[in-house]
Amino acid sequence: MRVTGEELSAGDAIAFVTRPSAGGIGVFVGTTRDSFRGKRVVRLEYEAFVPLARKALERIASAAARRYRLDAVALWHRTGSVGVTEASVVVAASSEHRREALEATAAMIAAVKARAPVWKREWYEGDERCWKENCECGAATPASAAALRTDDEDAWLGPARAAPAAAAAAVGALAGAQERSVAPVP
Amino acid sequence: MAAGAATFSVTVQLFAAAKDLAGGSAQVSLELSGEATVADVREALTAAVPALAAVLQAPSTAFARNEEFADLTDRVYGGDELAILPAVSGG
Repeated sequence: MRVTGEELSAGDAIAFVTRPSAGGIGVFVGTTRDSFRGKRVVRLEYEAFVPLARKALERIASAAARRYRLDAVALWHRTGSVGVTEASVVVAASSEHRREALEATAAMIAAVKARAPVWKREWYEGDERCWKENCECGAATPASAAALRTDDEDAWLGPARAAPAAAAAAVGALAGAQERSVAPVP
Repeated sequence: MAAGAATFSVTVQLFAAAKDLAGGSAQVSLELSGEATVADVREALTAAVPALAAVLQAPSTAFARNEEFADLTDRVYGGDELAILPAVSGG
């Protein structure tokens, strides 16, 4: 996992997680957008509490690798000035099948936005600037910081959803019930 | 000060909006005494830098001690490095 002032490359992250055993790679790239509510954004500036941010990325990646049975993970965050179209964050996950890679990618970027000690400041045209707060921040805050000192899956990623097999069975049962309810009486 | 309540010092790192509110200072040193906790650090920091009061009380603000997330009830000791983590905005 990386917290770096260097430019991030999604291609490098994909290469990093590519494995013969994996049939799918999920990727998310967060980039600097040129506007915010009508204001022209010229760049973002990221500040991190680097040692703890690095631990946060490692724990998020580790929790996701275990929950989603990933083959490999790259979770990289940039610091410093990030120009329009450049990547501030790159998430890549490989797994045997696509569902786990896609779900893990979404869960990891959500966890980064909610809990990694990183802050962004938007710089607008004319040198105006503003520190941002993620809407995810503080949502579902774990009861204890102690859980965040480990790679506790629930603390970092939130409670697991129903396992795919269980969810499919539930949908099947529901469909069956609906079919039965409209079936003509013999 | 009560007899036997030895004093000790800790440092507190400030980030992002908290650093700006403290006039750009990235670090503040505080003197504490007795069996202090992270909550006592918060109180001492509020007294030292009143401009931080709102950030320090915000539910989205987190705390760290020696580069790990900390609860308000965690004990602090001389030489500890605390950090104030305002609402995050990575990604």
